[in-house]
Amino acid sequence: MKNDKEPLLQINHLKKYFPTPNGLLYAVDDVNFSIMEGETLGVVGESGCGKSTLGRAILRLHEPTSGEVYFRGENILNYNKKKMKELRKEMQIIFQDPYESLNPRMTVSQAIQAPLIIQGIYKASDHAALEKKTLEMMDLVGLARRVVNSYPHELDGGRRQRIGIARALALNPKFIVRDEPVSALDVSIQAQVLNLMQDLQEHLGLTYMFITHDLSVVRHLSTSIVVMYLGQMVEKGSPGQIFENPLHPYTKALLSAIPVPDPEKKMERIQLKGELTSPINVEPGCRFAKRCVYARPECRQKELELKEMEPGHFVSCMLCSG
Amino acid sequence: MSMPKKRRYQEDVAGRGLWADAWYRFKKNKLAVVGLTFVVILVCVSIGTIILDLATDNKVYEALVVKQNLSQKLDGPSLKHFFGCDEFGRDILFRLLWGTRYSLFIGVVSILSALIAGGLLGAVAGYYGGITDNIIMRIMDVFLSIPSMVMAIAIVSALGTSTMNLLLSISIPQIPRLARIVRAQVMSVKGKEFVEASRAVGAGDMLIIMQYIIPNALAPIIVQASLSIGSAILSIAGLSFLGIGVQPPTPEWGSILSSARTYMRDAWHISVIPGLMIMLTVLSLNLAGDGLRDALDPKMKN
Amino acid sequence: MSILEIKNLKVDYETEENTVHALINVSLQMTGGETLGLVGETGAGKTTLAKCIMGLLPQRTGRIRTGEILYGGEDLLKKDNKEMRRIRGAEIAMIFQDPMTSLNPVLTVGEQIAEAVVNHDHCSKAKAFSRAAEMLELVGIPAERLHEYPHQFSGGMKQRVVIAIALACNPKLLIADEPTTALDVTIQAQVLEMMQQLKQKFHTSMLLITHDLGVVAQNCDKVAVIYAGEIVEYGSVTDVFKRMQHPYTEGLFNSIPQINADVKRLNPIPGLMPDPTNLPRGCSFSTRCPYADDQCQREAPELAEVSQDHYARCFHRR
Repeated sequence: MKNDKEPLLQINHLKKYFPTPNGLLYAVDDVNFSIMEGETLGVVGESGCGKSTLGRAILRLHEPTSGEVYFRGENILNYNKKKMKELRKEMQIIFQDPYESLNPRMTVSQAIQAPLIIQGIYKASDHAALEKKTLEMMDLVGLARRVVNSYPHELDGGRRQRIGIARALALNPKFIVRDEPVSALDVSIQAQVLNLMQDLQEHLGLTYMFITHDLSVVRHLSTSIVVMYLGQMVEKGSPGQIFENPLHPYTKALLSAIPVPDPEKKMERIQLKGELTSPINVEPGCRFAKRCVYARPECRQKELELKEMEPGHFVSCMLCSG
Repeated sequence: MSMPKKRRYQEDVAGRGLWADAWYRFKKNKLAVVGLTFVVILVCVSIGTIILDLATDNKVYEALVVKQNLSQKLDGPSLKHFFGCDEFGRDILFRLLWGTRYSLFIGVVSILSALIAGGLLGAVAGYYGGITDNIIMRIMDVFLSIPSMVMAIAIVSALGTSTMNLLLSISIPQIPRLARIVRAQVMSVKGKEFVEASRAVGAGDMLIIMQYIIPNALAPIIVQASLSIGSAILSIAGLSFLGIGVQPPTPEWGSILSSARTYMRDAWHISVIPGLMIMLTVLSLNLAGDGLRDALDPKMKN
Repeated sequence: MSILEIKNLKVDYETEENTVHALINVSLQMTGGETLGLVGETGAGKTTLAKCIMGLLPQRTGRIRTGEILYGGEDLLKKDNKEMRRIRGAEIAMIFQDPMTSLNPVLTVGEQIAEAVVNHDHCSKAKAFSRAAEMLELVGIPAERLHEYPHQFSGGMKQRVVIAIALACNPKLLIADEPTTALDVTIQAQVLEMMQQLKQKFHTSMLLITHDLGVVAQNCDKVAVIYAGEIVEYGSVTDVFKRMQHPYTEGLFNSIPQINADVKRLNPIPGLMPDPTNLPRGCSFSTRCPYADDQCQREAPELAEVSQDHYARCFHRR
């Protein structure tokens, strides 16, 4: 899986800690990965594992505590405000909740035009050009032209999510963070939106970072997958490696917990003890040890590192020896 | 930086435009329409009397509003004087008509200026949070701890009685109240995802506050402001009562009411009628404000 | 013996401008101890059905046009408020989707469970609290946590408390409206497993409302697929999942990404659910159906038996 090309995005030792009244919250703790142009990286984990913070930290919506984010070979964490604004044309985000991520007082056309005007691509007075671009974007994401003056609340979730996509794509970005873009939608609409985003990727040569809690969604969409637990990466590999040969006990448990829509295949669940704890003031050692059925005393002592078990397949677990 | 205007497109079938939409929704609220109608009448009366004064060089004003006629002192309502006469025999109806401008003008202007000042402070405090928030809000707390009437008296007695100072004395005590509400609203809207979404496309702080936060925080602020106009009118009345507001013989409603106090037992009408006027005005403003809040919310369709 | 039987239930919501047809001639039957899955998308009428059974339909807008809801042979729709209050909780209990908002934040979990017990059994407070402790243990929470407040619990734990409250009075029928949608998959699996065990232990029947076909497959005996207020397919889980007859059911399965198969592209149902105020004349799915023909657009199909106890509402049964 080695590639000579330079990755579009490379994250080195990215950390984001939040101070809380009870101590430091290790939302993202030493995450490393890279994404090649045109590929899709799936980031999977449960709520509170830091996956959304990771996406926001890369876009500097939350300023990272430390680490490096290389976009086209340049560390964007050193960018000043002006350069950062310029860069936002290239990096965009699509949010989880289409009910929350649109300004309720802006119509569809206003929402799509806002980024264009903010970035100075079009003048606000240039109605003709803006109108043309708006309708072009609406066609691209499959929004009927008649809703151009509707408010978000007048539309259903699928259409709203399409507005979010149109808005992000209006700036013609190369890299898009998709933060749970379909989890608030019904299954039939979810499939429509997933297909749309796949088409757009092929059509426009987009690179995605796809954040989700739903493993089944990333399988057929990703070129590689990262599994996160309490701010850290626990496993990384291709979809085939993660799904056919999961190594980390957490990945295994996660996979076995997905209800299979087949009444004849009864689930054999891998037990997990307790629930996700909060990543505040974490103890050294494996963060999963508390819930892990295979945990041994030494799991709580040593800091773990990602080990390459087979080409391109990394895992951070004491019990997996290379 | 300006934002995209809502425009009509050929394909457009949905939507009527923000203001047309708002007006459509407003019209459906009968009480709000009644309130607005009354406020509009008051505004027309104020403008009408001002024009009349200018045209006649205050002659009508002198004759009807200021000139005393002790022969009809404290006369009750009759066909000749619909609302009766006051302690100097002046027709109360005319005094009320000419007094409209003072109550309305001072009430509206003082709250508008308080809203701008308080809104700005509250928005900045709520948006930036942290130290900025602390500094601004602690200063506001100091202002809040002084009873508004005491502060108004202090301002007027320090600066002297004039309309401008009266405005200031009504306006300043309202600033912290409005700032608090704006801050709370801004803080709740700030956390919304659409604000983050606009930051992700490169929007600056000012634009986010003006285009994303304020429009979405507006509803309770409008209601509070319309309520405050009512209380401002009452404050003017209070200050006039204490003799540091609008000076006699200027027919401001509050001063009419306060001078009527002595004659309450002999002539009910000189206190009840101005009192009713103040009450109706405050009520109308509240109803209209309520209606406006609902009308401006696109989610309140129909 | 059937514990719940719904016959020809037709419910509208009336607003100033229009009438929303929420449920159209819905008929269902549940036998004691079984779990019936109700699957459908947002706005299909799942929650309306649950509200009708509980007698919680909004009084201002909700209108029950026709139909009966027979519970143990008695029509719930004819009961007055007082009788319904007794039935709710003691006989039929409900679990809501969001555990974060369905608990009262100012009462301890013990008080909330005990309250449910006292309301229906009129027993002493001490007795109610010991029952509460028992229930907590049952849902897998140590009884010591009886005196803690909801905010001290995690999401999954809260949903366990909600389940404990629902089961405290030993109801015969449990209606669970998307009970695990707000939870993470690993927690969802734990909660569902626990519900399954408790259901068997108390011999409770359950109406499980969900949009997740996987949850249905793993937890239900029978399933009803609901689309635009109508039941379009109804039968045992194996029949519906393995020998599906309605194109909508088929479309749903094609829409979900399969975890076990490496599909490169999904095959979703085109279009959107029809406007419930303005349903198409014929079959309500005809606007999105790949098999639709003239007949489908003209007349509405009946729910017909395809094989034993397997019903589908389609002219083109395969």
